[in-house]
Amino acid sequence: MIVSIRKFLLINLLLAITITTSSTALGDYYIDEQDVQSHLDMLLSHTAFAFSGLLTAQLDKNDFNQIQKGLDKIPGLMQKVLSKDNDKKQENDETRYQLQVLDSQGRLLLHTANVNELAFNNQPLGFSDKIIGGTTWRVFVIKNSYGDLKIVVAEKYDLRTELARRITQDDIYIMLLIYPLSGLLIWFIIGRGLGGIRAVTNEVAHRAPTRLEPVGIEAVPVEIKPLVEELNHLFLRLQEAFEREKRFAGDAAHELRTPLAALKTQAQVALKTVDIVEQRKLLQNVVIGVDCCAHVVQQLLILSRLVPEASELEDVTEFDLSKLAAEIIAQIGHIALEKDLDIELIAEKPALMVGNPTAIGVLVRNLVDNAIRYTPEKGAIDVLVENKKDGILLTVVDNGPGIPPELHDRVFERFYRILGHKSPGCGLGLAIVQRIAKLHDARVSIGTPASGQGLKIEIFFPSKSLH
Amino acid sequence: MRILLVEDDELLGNGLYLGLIQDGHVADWVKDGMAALLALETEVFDCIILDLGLPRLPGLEFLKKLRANANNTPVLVLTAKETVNDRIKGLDTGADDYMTKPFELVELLARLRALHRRVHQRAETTINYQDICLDPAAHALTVNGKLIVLPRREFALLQKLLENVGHVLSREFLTQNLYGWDESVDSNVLEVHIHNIRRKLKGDYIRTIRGVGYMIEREEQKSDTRDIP
Repeated sequence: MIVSIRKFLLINLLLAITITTSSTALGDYYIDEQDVQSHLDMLLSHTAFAFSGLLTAQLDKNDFNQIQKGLDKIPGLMQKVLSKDNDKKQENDETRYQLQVLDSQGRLLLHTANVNELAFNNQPLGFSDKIIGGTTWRVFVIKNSYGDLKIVVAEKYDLRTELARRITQDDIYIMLLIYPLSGLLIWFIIGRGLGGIRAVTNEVAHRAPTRLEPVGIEAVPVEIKPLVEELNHLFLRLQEAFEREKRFAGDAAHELRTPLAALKTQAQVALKTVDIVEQRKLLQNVVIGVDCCAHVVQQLLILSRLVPEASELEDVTEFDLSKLAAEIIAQIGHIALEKDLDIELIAEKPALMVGNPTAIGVLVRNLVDNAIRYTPEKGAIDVLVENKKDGILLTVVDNGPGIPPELHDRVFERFYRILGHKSPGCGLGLAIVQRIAKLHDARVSIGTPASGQGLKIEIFFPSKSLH
Repeated sequence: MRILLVEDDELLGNGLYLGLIQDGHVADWVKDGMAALLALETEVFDCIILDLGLPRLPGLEFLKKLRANANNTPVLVLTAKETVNDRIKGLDTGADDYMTKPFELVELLARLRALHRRVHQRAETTINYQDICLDPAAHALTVNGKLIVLPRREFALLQKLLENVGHVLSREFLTQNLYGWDESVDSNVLEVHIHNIRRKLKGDYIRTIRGVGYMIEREEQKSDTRDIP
């Protein structure tokens, strides 16, 4: 589990850099050594050729002696040329090079100051190696243009490896310096790269809980754009939920004010009334008022549960609408009987549909409840459930006062109440019906029955299969 | 006072209606703005209690129309909206007072009295005329310091006459002020009330203007000096 992207990247990038540069250094070491060898070989052969070039004329013993004298002076001359602080190394260097000139019999004619052994007289022409007393020498042998002299130059190997080693060592020092520098640079670069994330984080972190508008997406890095977009969707849903809660509280407060005012007024008039019969009537009104308040609260709760973002219906099953309608009517039928209403269910059995039975139950209850409320005594209510070709049709017809056509759209608005209705409704019933219908993709139509009197509400549930 | 109550809620309207009558007022109750406008075309009210959430004609629209018709009957607005902006809007549209539901009935009645007082440009809460002192809030009447009990309609009748000292009030106007629409009125009921008042006050304060109505005559200069010790 990666906790910090910055740490993860820093460690892994540094590791990668270390591995690659180390392999480079290691490769360099071998390649450098070869380069150094061939370079030094070239220098060695160059010296030999230069010498052979100088020994072109026929030289007698005297000449050789003269040259040998010159050669003997070399250590002294070098001492002068090279700076004093290099003394020790120079002493060492004196014995590193050997130059010898041999005649055709293998006798030593010329040699560098330090050595006069005949160690190299059997060496073949060209490059070769020779071990003398534990030290390995690189040797180059040529003959001069007349073929009577053999020129030998030799160099100690340890100098050569020392050179290659020193180059590699320098490389390592540079690398050791570079690692912390790269680490620092990587740290800064990653930091800058993660700046976009930090900006989003700050933007979200410094928000007030009620500030839920989307985070600006323009400056967000491509890599976290999907995350921010999802976050924005979440914000949107949260905002909707907040709005709904606020509206519920507002609606409740607003809608309860009038019934509460009525309650209070009725009770206060009752307190001042001396007449017992009158007082009793007022107290009955208080009870009606309380029922009304309770009804408002209950309907508001139902409506708030049928919220837009719960547009995915839960607990969807297949059930018999006819059976459900019969149960609902049985539950609230007594109110109809009290009003001497003729309520009848005409249902085809079975009428199977797919949906949430609880929600559909609320829908049926609200429709029937509305019909009972608004139909005057001795009226008639018919509830019809019919199987149609491509769905199920639920119809509730009453012969009450009905709703004028121009108000048909408005009755679905929340809290809309039609003038002159004396029943204690709160104007939420049909809003709930419409919400539930919409959740089931059902069509709601409102009209006047064929008799010309009353109200007919039709809900058509299109056929659906259970997934 | 004769009060027009404009309230669409059945239970609240009923409670207010009974409460107003209980307090000795004459109340008429309509349930929408159009009906209220209609009532104001034919009748005169001392005060209007107006609910803002009305069907057919919303309360504020009603108020605009009322003021546009140069009708300056005091209006007390009742509303479920309680934000300051709502109140400001209501008052600026022409309301004289504002109460948020749920309210205290006694406070509503007190505010009605205050509105009424302002209309008659009275600073005192009581109405004083010669030796009569009438206190509308306490429903109390004293003559020469002696308490006299009057039934609510006769009290209201006397109050109306005292509020309009020096003006002749027609029989129709007075009857309208004493009875709402749904009350049946006998033709001689006003004479009976006037007779009772005269009998109980033991003085002829009320003058009959034959064929027109009644009035209480303006006090002579003595009312100006009476309050100075």
